[in-house]
Amino acid sequence: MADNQKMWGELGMNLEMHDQLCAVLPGAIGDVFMSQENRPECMDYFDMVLADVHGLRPAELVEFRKNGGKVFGTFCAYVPDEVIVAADAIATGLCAGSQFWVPGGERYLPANTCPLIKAMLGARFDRTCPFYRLADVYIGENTCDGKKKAYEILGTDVPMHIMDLPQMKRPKDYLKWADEIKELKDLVEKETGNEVTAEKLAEGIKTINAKRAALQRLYDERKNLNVPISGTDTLLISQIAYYDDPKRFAAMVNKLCDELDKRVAEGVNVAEGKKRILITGTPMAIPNWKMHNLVETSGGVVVCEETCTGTRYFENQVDESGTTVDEMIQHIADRYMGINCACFTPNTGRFDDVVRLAKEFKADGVIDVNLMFCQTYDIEGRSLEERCKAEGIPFLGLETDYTDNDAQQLKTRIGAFIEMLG
Amino acid sequence: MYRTLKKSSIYAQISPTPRELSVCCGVSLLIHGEDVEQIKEIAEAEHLNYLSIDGLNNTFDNTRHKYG
Repeated sequence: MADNQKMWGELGMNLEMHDQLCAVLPGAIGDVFMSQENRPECMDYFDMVLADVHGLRPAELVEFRKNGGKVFGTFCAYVPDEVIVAADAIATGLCAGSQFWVPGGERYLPANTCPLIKAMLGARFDRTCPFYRLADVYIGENTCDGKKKAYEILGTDVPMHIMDLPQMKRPKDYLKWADEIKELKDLVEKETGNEVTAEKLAEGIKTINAKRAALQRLYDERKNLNVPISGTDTLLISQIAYYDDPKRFAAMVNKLCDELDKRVAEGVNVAEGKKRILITGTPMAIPNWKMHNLVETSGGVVVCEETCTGTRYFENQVDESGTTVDEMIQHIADRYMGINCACFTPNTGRFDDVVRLAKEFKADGVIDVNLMFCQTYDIEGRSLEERCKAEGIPFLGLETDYTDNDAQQLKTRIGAFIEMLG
Repeated sequence: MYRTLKKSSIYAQISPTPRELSVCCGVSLLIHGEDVEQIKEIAEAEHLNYLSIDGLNNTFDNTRHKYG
């Protein structure tokens, strides 16, 4: 275990400050995950990844870089890992889900900025996350004004490449996004010295499609009336999806699903008598487990997440029929433009998704959870509520941040909502 | 160690190492106190290495709502 300290030191991390994070995380993990009963055995892999979250995967990235490999840090479900993988590079999500990093970000950003963006800057500038130290280049995207401007500040400390995501879905916007993906390909080729050939890109598409298929299979298990896995455990898996090796991750999720198949056949239910909740809204980056923990200790079970750490990340596949690099890039663009983020106008596709998923997952109610100061999702919440009400789906809208301060108030509201579901 | 204990039907749960035991994070196995002697015997017989077996007076509370 001493190797972790050595590795973190060599990465230039602030060991004293990082130790404060190490002090609180085991307790939170114990309370949120270990306290659950009747968990699937195959959660052991994900428990291990979580238990040594700043040790195991970072050690792999260190080794990869020693051998000349390049690591690209990403922040968003729109960045196509296919292109990065095709250049024999590694894409890693740069998580920003802890209150621990927020004060560090507030040194650079206005207080009325969303906690995810603050945490992003805090993790980089406080030097308390190994993933932020290990990424050679960060790939940003303009999915909100806060991130867009924060990337300018991050860019003073680390090489940044920004992808200009269109904010409408007209045919010309799909072409524009394909152009942006071509620019990403050029960057990745330049940084790695590896050409993204048609053969390599086809392989990359298959790898990431397989990962998405595994996650879809996991979510399909939750459609059963007997729920074989908790929402809290599934959220953890979705969070790990952003930074684990894609092939190993898909294999482990499929292994877990084999166990879940058996559980379903045996009628195992981890949520006996609980109300089925669909969560929609802003992303829940690791270690943000607040809402799932609150719902699942208040008489509910989360059966689906319509979020970037949920269905937006894996629904729809990249068409594998392309034969040239240009064709494949357009197919990649088409798949990613199918994600329904609140940065788009109009974004009624998201409302359709929520209604469809609520039916598919037999949700008793929808909770729309938005991070404080996330203007696009916050504004969209009203229209989403109207649509859900028109469809007869009970709806609760909540706004929160990463602090523990509002936990009891939220619990009261969630408890009342679940009680109202009958 | 984890796989061996599972094969022997002994309770073990992969968990983060509590701060009280190490400042390096890292992985630990959460085991039941009554299994300690048996686990030590198995580890010796199977030549399985571990740093130490320690007990802590910690409890898991899913309603504490402290997320770090």
